[in-house]
Amino acid sequence: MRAFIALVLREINERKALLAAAAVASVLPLLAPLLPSTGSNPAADIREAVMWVVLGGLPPLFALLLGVGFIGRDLAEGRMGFYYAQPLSGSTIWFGKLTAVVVLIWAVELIVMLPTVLLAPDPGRFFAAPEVFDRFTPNWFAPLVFWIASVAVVLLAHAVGVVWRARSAWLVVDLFAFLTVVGAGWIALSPFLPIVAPEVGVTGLGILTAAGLAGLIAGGAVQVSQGRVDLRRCHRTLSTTLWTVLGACSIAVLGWSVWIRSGTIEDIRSFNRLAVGSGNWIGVDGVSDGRMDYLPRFLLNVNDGRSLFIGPAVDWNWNEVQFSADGTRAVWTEFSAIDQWPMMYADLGVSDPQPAFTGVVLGADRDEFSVSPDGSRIAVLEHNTVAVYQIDPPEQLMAAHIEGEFTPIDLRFDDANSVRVLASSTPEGRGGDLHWHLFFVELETRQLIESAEFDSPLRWGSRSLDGRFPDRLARIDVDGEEHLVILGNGNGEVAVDLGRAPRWSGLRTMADGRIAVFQDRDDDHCIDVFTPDGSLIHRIELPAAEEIYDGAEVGPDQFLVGLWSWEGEFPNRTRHLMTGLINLKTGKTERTLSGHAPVLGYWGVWSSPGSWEVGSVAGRLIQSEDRVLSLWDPETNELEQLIPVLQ
Amino acid sequence: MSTTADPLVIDHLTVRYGRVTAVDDLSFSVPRGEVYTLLGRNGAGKSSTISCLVGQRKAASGGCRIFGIDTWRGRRHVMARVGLVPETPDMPPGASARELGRFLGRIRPVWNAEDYEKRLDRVGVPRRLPSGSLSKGQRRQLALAAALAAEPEVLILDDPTLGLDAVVRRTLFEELVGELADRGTTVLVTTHDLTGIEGIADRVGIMQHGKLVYDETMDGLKARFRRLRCVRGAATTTDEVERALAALEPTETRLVGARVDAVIGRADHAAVARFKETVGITEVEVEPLSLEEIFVALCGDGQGGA
Repeated sequence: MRAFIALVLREINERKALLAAAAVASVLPLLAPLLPSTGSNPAADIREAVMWVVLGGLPPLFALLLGVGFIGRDLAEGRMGFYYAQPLSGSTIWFGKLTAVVVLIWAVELIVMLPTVLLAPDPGRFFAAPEVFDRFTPNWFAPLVFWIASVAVVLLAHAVGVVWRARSAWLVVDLFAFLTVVGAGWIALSPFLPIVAPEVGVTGLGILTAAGLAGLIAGGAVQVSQGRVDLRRCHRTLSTTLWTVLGACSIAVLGWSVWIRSGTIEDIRSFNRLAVGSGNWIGVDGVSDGRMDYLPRFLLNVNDGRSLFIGPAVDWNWNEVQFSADGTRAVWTEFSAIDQWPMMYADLGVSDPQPAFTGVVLGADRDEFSVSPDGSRIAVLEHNTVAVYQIDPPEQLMAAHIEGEFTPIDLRFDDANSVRVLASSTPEGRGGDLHWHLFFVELETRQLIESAEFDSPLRWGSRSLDGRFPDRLARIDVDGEEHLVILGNGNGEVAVDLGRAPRWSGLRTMADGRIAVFQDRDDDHCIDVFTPDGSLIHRIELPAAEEIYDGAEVGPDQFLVGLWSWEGEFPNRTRHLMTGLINLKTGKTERTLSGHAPVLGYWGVWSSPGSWEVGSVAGRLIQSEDRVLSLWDPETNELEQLIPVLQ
Repeated sequence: MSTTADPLVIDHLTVRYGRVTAVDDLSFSVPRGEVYTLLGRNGAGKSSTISCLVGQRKAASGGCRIFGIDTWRGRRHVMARVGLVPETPDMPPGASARELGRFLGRIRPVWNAEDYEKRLDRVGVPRRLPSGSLSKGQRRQLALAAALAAEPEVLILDDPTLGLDAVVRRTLFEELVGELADRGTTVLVTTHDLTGIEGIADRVGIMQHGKLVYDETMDGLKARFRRLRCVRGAATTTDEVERALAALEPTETRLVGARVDAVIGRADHAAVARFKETVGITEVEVEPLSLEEIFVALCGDGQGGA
């Protein structure tokens, strides 16, 4: 230790001119406010701004110079022999010199900062107050980042300096190893970056970066210990150590990546999102132990437990799995690159469903896609173009561009030969209100026809196309008061007038055509049941809760609603879920299921046509507070746990 | 020749730079308290040998031991007892003699600060100037002072007089003689200053093309190699002279007219007497040679080797 300290002090002394240079540079922030161009900005702010600029430039510059020279220059100029002629171990020489450089950079930072900090109105905030990167990042973080970056520059510059000076044939090995490590890193981490699982990707990059720095540190130590004054041997030992460490780490990261991607449905601890349709298959992704934000996604048959991995979920890629109305086919998008989303499908009617490519690749900015009721076709809305493809064999059937200043919003197959598109526009002179358009794509005639336009504002998500009732388009008119009407889907004209609905929160058209409107009235809620032509049948009061959402029609006159409320006081309050089974005929709440809520109608659950059918599997899916997914039998009140899969 | 007690042993050392073999299967040892001078022309492999000997360069095969410790593996322990004056002084250029003394005083197990200061005074090395600002001779003196102040048991000097003027060269070797007499230090020195080393070396090794071609005591070498001058008669052919000389193992022969001038490697009385009896050879004279003359005779172009 005595020798180590002596060497550190000696090396610092050798380079003390850098500290003098830093002292000169530290004056620059003090002079900056004297410049005429600084205007009326406060002097303290100007000093601080210039200080950050100097701090961001000077230490990395010194790091570069020191990194190239602190060993490499001595080696090239034949001065390393002095150290080897002393009773100093190789590691003492390396770590002593490296420590001196690291301390020097740190000292340079302090010297640059010191005058500005001392003259600041509140010097303490430089070490505690949040300012630099964002309001959550403390100021001391910036010098720390500069310092770490500078140390990295030192190590990198050292390695490059040695390699450059040696100019040995090992350069070929370096190049090969570099490309191998980069390739392995790419193979390991590109499946996660930038959007599939950024936390995994960034962690992997962090591990590789740390391994690179560790490899450079260890490589330097081995180089000094084993290469000594032989420059070529120095290069060889440095490279061997660096690439061994990085190679081993790359293999480990590669293995980790494979492990993360090899998760089965049994690994999912809690589900994240669901896609449901009319059949027994659901799409589900979820969190699993050790896989961070990587969400493996599966098709799961809730009846027999068969599952099929369909690539990871991408957090913002909503509605990414859709089922045909007959439940025989699932179509989904997978992420392969920023602007590349291949569409895949699987036939669910066979015993061993397998993923297959539809032949269609979507861009990142596509709007929607839809599957035909028989699953044979898909329609894609991309920019202002509607394209329809046949899945098997893959073939584009037609593409039509919606001319004009429209914003297509939704599309849906009415049947295999007809696609309906809802679009909006904002014509001039209408006060910014949206103007709505309905288009039909007729595959037989290959024509795009505008069937209706209307200028009433549609709000609150009621603008979606109702799969079961293609002639109806719900809307809420907020022209002064909330006035709920149902528009005809074909012409946009009012089909049903439900009157005023001041606290309207949801609307569901029942199998027999009755209309249920959910009213949210602070702590108590109700359902207004209307006849198909809009006459109020009765009002059903619901159990007390803070929020209500419409669930599913699970049987004749049996309707599930989701209720949730908060228990306790902020910030320790907890959410309480409850499912209510409402008899629409009697208006009674027949059963409640505490701690669970129906998944249909809940955020993060995407429904394909048929999922809302009476008695559908989707309607009986129940989630717990901690995202455990179960299938509920309202008759017996029994729960069959689906996710996590019971071992 | 080498014994396990010898503090400095070079054992079948081979050093290569790529495809070039700089030192080829070199072996010799230096007994305790002996001054061994390793001679050779530029590029003979002396500095490569020294570099391996002090553990700075790894041998392609074979190795070096000092105090029985492999110098590559145990460099740190070895260098605690070894002083080195390299061919080119390599101390940090920003360090003054004073800083250097302070630094070495902290890291060396033995440091005679008083001796260091006295030597610097004696040779006139400024204390405060960075070593990079000193003259070549001053830097070399500084290196020597630093090596000696550590009171090493083995001192290795790689061409210590290179670039020094005649006065400094003589001073350096004279001082060295004094130091060595006091301490009984084992010394290995490579030098081109053969006149200076002649008075203090106990043993001489001569390297040529990476190989050790002679390894003898100084006295033995000087007794063995002599200059022979003679005159050949008019009837005696040069072939007859060369045939007669062959028994004396000449390393250098010059025939100028009737005069014969040769350096012989076998100068015992019996052999010379037999040569004198050769018909047609007269005025035979045998004279001693200086180390430099022996070296030139052995390592001159196209000559030498054993």
